[in-house]
Amino acid sequence: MNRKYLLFEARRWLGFVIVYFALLSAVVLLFASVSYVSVYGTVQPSNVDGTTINSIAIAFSVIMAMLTFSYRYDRKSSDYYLSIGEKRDRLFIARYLVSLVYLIVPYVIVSLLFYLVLYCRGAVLDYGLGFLSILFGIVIIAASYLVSCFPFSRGKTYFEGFFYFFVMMAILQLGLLPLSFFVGALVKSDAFMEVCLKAVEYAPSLALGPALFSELFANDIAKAAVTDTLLKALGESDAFLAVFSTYVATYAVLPIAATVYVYLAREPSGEKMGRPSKGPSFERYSYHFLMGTAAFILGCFCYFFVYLSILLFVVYCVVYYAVASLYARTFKVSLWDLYGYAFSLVAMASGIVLAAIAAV
Amino acid sequence: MIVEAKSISKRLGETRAIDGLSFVLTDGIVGLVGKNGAGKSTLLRCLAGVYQLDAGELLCDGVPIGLSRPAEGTFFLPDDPYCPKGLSLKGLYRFLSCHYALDYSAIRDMAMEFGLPTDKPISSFSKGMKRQAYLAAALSVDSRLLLLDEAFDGLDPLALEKIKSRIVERFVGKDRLVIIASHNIVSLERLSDTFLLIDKGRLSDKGASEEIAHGLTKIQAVFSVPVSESDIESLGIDVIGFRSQGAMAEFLTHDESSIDKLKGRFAPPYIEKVPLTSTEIIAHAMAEGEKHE
Repeated sequence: MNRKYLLFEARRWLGFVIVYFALLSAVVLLFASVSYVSVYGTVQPSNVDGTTINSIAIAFSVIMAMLTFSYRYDRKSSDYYLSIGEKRDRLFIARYLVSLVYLIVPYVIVSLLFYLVLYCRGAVLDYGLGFLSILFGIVIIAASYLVSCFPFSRGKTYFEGFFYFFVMMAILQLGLLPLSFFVGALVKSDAFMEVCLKAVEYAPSLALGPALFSELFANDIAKAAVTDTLLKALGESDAFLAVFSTYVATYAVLPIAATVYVYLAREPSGEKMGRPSKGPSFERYSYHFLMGTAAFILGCFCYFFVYLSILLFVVYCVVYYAVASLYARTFKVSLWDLYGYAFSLVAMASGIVLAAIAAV
Repeated sequence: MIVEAKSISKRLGETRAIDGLSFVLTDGIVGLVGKNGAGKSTLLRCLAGVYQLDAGELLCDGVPIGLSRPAEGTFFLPDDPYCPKGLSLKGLYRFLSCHYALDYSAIRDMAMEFGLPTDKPISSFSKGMKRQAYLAAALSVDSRLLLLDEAFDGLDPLALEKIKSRIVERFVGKDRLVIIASHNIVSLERLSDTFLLIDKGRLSDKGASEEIAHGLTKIQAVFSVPVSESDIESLGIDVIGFRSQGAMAEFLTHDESSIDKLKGRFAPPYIEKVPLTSTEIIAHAMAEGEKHE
């Protein structure tokens, strides 16, 4: 890909990134300053900051996905970009990566800034857990961005279909590896819980895992209740095997989903690449199927972070509605859309249940 | 440069936009003409790699053109070109230079020639000025295959002539090919050396305007008394597009002996074959195509 073009793309979204960075920094610094000293004697950030920051990152990843692939919804820009002599796959990758870098880099910078503020305020930081926290944050942003890119890019080439599949695999792998590590290495489930508690204590609640646990363990009653539940779920089984079996379940379903999606949504002619249209029924069907698949993946993912699933599902519904409106060029919700929502809900629930069954 | 289409077809929804089209084009300036909805824009989009063909093959110098594989050195200027919001002519140059090799002096010279401001946003230009700006940009691209879709719409006659001479200067005799799609044949007058006539996605005719004329001649005559179309037809002459004003008449015909027949019957004081314009030839060819349907 042309370096000049990448730089041009990078410059185009600079304003967006500045707003994103500024908002993230403002929220982080605000919550860093309202953190408190916990009963363990360490500085504990506010309970709500993780969710808020993740919500901002997720919302911006959705907007970024829309902006990145908006050219495909406009005849003028699709005429231009599809005729520039650059291979479509390269064009797709270039835009995808530039946007992803723009989402992740500010997040990492702000996370480090947050650690710095905590350190200056006398917090005892565990660098390993800090790394874990940032990694979780990156995973949630990357996953949210990928899931948003699914519908907005209207990926209709085999390349894009399989790209989504493999990247989702990689993201899940990246997100679950630390868990596997803790569960596998410590073997004992109560030790796992200890690690979780430590993570909550030291990590700055910026990312997925710590954000969840900081809410869960805000008070001792909730902590005890959740600890009991999780210990029951994990305590009597081989925890490493449980996580591993979730992989297997996900890996078994996703290739089938990806293959069916690519088959249904393939675009041998290419003419609908840049055209907003109502399209033939198979196209609409594949679109709902696609959203359902995304919901299923979210469901699998949410099993580990049940509380966050509520937030993710709200974001998912907003994205779904935005996509449906953009697609049909109306804000009215049709009966067909309602079927789609229902299908997605079932898919997401199936994901959660399947992951739970596989784990137990 | 050789662009070859081998029985190409393209459907857009339920419509067969291109239906088994075959042609070979060599370097020069080709006028792609046809009625609205004939398939001109679709053909250009296929050549530009925006659409993939349903059937057939498009080759550029023997190399297949397709989705993700536009011909090397192609520049496509659609009827409604894309320009990122707020870009000036300078900005457009920078934007295009991300993807194409451009000659900045060419775009600057043309901007000066047309009196286009290089720092103001293109969105603030009038329709004609926008068109001039896009054409200036298109002509500054170092392309071997230039595809222009209804590119002359909205240009004033002076600007049109300037653009035409720029195109000739840059593309003729340099192993380059320009394909200009237009439903306005007058704008292609004295520019295109070859015409490709398409109708409902099929090739209706191809060649230089003289070849497309198929022996069509234009007769101008001044008679002693007013003569009607039926008077001329009564001599067995096929009359096309008869126009008269008093004793003066003008019409097109395929009859090579029409002058002799008219002289024998009406002894007009003045009668002569006059050269046909490309517009007349192509308009006639299109009308003929309609008749056959």
